[in-house]
Amino acid sequence: MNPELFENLRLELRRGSLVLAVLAQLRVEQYGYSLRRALEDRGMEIDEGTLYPLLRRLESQGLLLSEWREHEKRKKRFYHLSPDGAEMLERLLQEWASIGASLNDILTRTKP
Amino acid sequence: MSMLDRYLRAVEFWLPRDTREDVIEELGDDLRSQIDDQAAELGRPLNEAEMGALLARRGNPAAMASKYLPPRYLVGPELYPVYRFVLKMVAFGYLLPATLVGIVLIALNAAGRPLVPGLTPWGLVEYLWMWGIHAFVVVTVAFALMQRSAVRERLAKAAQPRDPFHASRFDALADVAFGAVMVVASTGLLSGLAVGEMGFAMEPAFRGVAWAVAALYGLNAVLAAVRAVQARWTLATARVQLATTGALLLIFAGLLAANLFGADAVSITIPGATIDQLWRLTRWANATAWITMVVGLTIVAWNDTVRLRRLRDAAPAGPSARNRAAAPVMVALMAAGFLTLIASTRAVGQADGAAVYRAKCAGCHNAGGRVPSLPTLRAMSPSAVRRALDTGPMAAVAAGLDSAERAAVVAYVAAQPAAIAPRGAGGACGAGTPAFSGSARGAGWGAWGVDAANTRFQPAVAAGLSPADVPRLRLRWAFGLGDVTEARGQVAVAGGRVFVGTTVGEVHALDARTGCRHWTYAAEAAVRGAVVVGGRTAWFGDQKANVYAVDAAGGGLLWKRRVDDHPTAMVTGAPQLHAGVLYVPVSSYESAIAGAPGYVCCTFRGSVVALDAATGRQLWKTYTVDSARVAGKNPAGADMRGPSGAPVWSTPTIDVARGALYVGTGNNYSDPPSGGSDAVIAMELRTGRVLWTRQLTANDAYTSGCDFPGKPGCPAANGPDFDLGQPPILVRLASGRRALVVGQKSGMAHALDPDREGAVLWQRRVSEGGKLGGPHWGSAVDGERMYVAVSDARIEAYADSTSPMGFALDLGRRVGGGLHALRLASGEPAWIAPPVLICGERRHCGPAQSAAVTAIPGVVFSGSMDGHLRAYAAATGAVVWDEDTARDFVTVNGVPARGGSMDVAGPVVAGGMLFVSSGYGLWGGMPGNVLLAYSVDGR
Repeated sequence: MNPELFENLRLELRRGSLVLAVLAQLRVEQYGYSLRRALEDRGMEIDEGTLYPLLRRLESQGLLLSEWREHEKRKKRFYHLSPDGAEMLERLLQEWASIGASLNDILTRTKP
Repeated sequence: MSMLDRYLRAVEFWLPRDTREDVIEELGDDLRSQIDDQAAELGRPLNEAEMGALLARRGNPAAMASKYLPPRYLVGPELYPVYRFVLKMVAFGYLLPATLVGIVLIALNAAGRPLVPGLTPWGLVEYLWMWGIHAFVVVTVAFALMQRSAVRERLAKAAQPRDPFHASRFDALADVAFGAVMVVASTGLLSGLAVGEMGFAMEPAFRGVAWAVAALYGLNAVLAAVRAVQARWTLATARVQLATTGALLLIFAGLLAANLFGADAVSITIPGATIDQLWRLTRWANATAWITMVVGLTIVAWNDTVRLRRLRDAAPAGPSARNRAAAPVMVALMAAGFLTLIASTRAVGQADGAAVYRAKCAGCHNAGGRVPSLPTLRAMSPSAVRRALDTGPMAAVAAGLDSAERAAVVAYVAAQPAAIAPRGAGGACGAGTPAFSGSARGAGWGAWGVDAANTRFQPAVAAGLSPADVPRLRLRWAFGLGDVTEARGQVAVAGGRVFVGTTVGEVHALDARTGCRHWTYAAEAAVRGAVVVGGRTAWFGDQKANVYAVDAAGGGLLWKRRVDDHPTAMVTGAPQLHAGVLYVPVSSYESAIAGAPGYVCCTFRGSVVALDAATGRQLWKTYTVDSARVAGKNPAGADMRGPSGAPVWSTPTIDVARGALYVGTGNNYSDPPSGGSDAVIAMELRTGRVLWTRQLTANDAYTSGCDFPGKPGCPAANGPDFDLGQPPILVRLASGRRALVVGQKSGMAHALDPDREGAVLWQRRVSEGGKLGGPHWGSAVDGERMYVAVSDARIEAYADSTSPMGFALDLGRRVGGGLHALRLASGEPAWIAPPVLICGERRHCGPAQSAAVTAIPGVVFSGSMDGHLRAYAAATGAVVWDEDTARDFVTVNGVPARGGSMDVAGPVVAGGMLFVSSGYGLWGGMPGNVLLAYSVDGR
């Protein structure tokens, strides 16, 4: 098996679920680094170059809200889910569940 | 600055200004937090290497920054396949055929049958590389613009199913507008368009193409207008649309091919631009325009094809009646496109003449200086141009051209068919005309300067005209000189006859009173100078340096002799006859062809040749330049030989008392300059030995090449081109002393002492001078004064869309002219008659007085480039008679003739009549071909 190809496909697979993970994690207010650590602790590793652009995009789409605050003597940007974001998250989770169900179904039926 | 800060600064550089601060602060905080955490784990601050490793994992700063930027494309994924398709079309549709055509052309060049002379493999590579890059850039920029316009979105949407018959009204209106613009542009180009200072015009050979483009775009606009109303496509309109696009594509591909062949359909003019700049600009602009059109039309054609296919798929099965009607329209339009393409290829064939002209002629004829300009050539008949190429002065330059190329360039240059008879024949004398009475009988003017001293002063008895008669001079007869554009021959009058040579190579003997023709002798080449008559013989020289003696009564050849072996040698000044010896001045046109590509300048040497007048036997030949031959390079790096030049342009002056003759010489052609140029040289009549040389301008070496870009064939001195175009006049002063007075192109008049080896007696500036004079072809004297006419002619450029260089040369309309009367004793001016400015905005007209001056007691005659012959009162300079000769004339020989600028030849007065030839198109003046005879009240 080509390990490089596996890595590419793995990243592709994770990319869609990242949005879900970020939105879900931000039901509680977090700043960038703490969010990253929290996701990492739960097995969703995400590097800075992916997370911060994603946060900016989600904010510009109105799904997140943010503010700059002093914390531990450093200025940090805190993000939390907006009401729109909360609604979107619910719908996406339903979608996620349905994808999971479909996939399970496919997997059980095609099992050798 | 810490390593972290440096990293952040590097990322910051690539970010857009408005997000920079936010992004860097947040990213910086994250990285610092990581560093802090790692430091806490280690229990110590990170060292340099650990810090470096941590940052290295974050990746290249530019790549990091790019993650924050929205994805941007020069050409996005929706357009990319089309972009690639168009690039392929360019490569296969243009570069590949161009390469193949180029290889064939090079092969033809190698085989010695050049279609596009001068095309080398390297030139082809250069061309393909340049236009390849060009096409790539044009296509890419066009697509980049499309990417940023609404076109992209529409293309993206095009994939969605929609009603294929629906036509967008907006698109239809845009098509109407574009079609209208193209119709206006292509018809406008026919008569010439101006955009600011720039002028654009269609080359005549491509006029049909412009009409076809206008018609096709007109049809497009009409169809689009209908579509704008109906908002529907039909199978028929889609087919016609594809057919017109296809026809236009063929036409523009043809124009592109023509550009490769060196024929540009649209010429460009910009006042003040150099030939070189205009040439490059024209090539570049044409290529760009046609590439753009071909690329654009390829896309449109693709679009049209896709549309047609969709409509066909959607249409009910089986061809409808309308479809059947559309098929012939489509076939007809495609046929029209093919025909226009063939026509444009024919235009290329015709334009071969233009290519030959550019390659062989334009370098000199469109460069200014002492070479006839394109309008001058255009005034010539095809046969006159052909003569010049085959046997005339351009024979050496045209040596590499085959017969087809000659025909092509003649057709290109002399676009006008011959409107005038090739020969000045007709008008033969009837039985009652008096026979030739010999030169000794009756009033005459047998030598160029009327006498051996070259005074150009006709005494009262011989003139037969008093000052009171002059204002009453009226035309008595006019004689058409045939297919010439310059009537440069001065007449000789003897025994009741007028003798005149022409540049067709004819010498006519006419009856002085009626102008009827006794005989015509056909010389081998152009007869440029006057005929000299003595006893019953007439002598003259031609452009191949032949000297002829013919029977003055019947025109039969007595003898003929070539007086110089140089291929460019010619006889311009009339020979001088004295005591049975003919003294022949030898000049050349080598300086005019020295600028031709590859010409090794120069080997001609000016000379005087003494011949036995009765037999033609050569008695002596004396050169004005030493025979020492030095070979070297000129400043432009071309091979050069010297010394050379110092031609003798005018008739020798005889000094019986000293047994000497005097000639004025012209400039050197090449380095090193010699002492015999721009000089008066005295030679012993009997032996030809040089008695003394008085140089008036030193170090004057010049050829026409000095005026061309790159100065091919131009010596280091580069001018000033101050020939002595006129002979020195031998006069006796009131003091009893003698003097030789002569005007020079430098603008100076000189008096030299013939008895003290040419020591200077006085010098007087009469004008600025220049390459076309200064005092030019001849001055006159009477007992008191020297009459010096000023040429100071200047050549100016004006925009001319019919010229391949976008401009043509013309005579300065307000420069030069004037007649100066200088006291012989001192050179002090007695009076100055200022130039008469009558040209206004008339082209090919100028006040320069370049022709030789003639004097009779009380009156001085001087012809001008403005076409007027004027008589001035000798005492005051007042104009007492002014005759405009620049008009059409009814001629006694029935040959259509026209007067024009007057140059070279001076008027001749004898037996109560005045004879003058009119027309001189060589330097941008008015061409003409008439010999005019005036008498008191025309009786």
